[in-house]
Amino acid sequence: MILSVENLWMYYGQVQALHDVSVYADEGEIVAVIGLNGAGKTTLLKTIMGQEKPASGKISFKGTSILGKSTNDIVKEGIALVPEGRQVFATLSVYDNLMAGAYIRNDNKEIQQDIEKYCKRFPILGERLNQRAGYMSGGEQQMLALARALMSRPKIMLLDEPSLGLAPVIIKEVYEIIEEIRKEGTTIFLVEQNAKRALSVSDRAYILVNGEITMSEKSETLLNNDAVRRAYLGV
Amino acid sequence: MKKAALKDFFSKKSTRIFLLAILFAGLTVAPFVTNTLTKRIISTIFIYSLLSMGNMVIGGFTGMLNLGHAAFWGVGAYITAILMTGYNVPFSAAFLAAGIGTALVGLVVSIPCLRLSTDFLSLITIAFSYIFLAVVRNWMSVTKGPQGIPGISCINFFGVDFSSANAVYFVLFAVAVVSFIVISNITKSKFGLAMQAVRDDELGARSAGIKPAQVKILSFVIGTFFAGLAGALYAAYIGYIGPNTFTFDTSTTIFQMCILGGLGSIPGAVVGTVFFVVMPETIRTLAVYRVGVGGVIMLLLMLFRPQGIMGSRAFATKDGIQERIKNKLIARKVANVQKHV
Repeated sequence: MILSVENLWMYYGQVQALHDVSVYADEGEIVAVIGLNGAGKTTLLKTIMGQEKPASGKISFKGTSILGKSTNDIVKEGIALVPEGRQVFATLSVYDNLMAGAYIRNDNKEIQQDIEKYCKRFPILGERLNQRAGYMSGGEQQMLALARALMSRPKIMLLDEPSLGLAPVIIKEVYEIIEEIRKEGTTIFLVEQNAKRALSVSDRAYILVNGEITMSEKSETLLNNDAVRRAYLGV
Repeated sequence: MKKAALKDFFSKKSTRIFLLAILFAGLTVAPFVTNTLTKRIISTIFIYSLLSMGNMVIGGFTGMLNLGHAAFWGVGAYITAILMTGYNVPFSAAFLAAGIGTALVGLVVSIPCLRLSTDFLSLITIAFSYIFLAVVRNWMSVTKGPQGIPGISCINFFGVDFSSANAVYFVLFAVAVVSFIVISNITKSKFGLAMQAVRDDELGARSAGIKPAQVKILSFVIGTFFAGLAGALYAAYIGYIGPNTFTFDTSTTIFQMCILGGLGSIPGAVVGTVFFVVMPETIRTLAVYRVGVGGVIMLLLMLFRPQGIMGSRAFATKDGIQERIKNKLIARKVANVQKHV
């Protein structure tokens, strides 16, 4: 178990956001959390990243607790977040965005090698290395956000709605890359509204409803589950 | 084609070094061949460029709208004046004390700024500049109130007096050059990248392992440190300081220098400074209209080159008016062609 969240309770003031949530990810897995708007998906990721404080619960990474650590330290441990809506540094060049992604690293030589590697992996980034990130399309920015997160050499990547606001063709491309990233040994933990996509690439999935995990199954099983199909897949 | 070649010429490193060398040589010879007024104007540019470069770090790189920079300048000037006239502290020590003391004040002011977005943060800095003036005007026993502090002895480093006009000129020149190099290197470093990342997107920066709060405070401390140094130099250069120099108006002028030069560019800060120091001198005959002329120029700038002269377009969301017209014309042509097909 590389990441484990146990009995997490979290409130925004009086409003309950997470209700006894327990999830985990094994090394090399793709785990998805499916939920509608406001179900608490982003809150879950923010809490894991140390950006929100839970009322109670445990969060551990590779067996040691990361609860209460700063985001900066959590990134150093090997967890990277690709935030919702991509959040690339719009006025900086693609190259500087990647450099910022490697902020916690000090091995300049290897950073340059990694940049070359990801320019090959994401050809669009190689072509636009000196271009301003804000001028790229949504899909290109999503690629950049993924590459930027990879620059910190994470053991596990948390993806917040990687399909948000993208055209179907681009979504397909993004998910292909997610699978490739997993093949190279990075565990993927993603939260999505786009249930069909997320279920078809992931190994296991959780269904999050109003801050509560209501189902936890193999993704295949969920894809064939009638209730899930009706509620999330629109069939 | 010609335009591209010109652009190529200016972006070449050798060209830039050549131009810098000419500028450097010109500034070195200047005090020997020009009159007192020109010397004074260039000296003023040196002092103001410390201010605009500092404010560029805070506003242009980290994206914090600081409208109280003149007050930080004043803190440095008053620290120097009080130490030198009241306690006979040598200038070298007062100079350092001004830098560090102002940076500490900057640290204190920056802490409430962490909780606020740009617009509200600017209100805090405006409030600070008025608090500063109120304190200086009313704390008679220390600051001598509105009449100011006269009789500050001239710049003197480690016992060497720089009292002649030329000597002062070279001291200011040296400090400005060293500060330029230091600040440029900071902005080009990893920390500079972190500042810009925080400016562009705090959430994204946090996800990359950058600590936005730390970056903001540190950039504020750096910017105000140089304002403190500028204050020390100003106090010893003029020999007298009073509260009316360090007003909110001066802060806006400093910010205008940054905007004109181009937010996100340290050379831009210097270019903006040159303009706003030289402009009022050259149209002195139109003294009454000075503010108006500055305003009109700012308006034209926003229309034609919103990113500033040297700016990286960091803060401009739209193209200049000429580009927008060009784009519209192209769009119209395309529409016409499509109609005929």
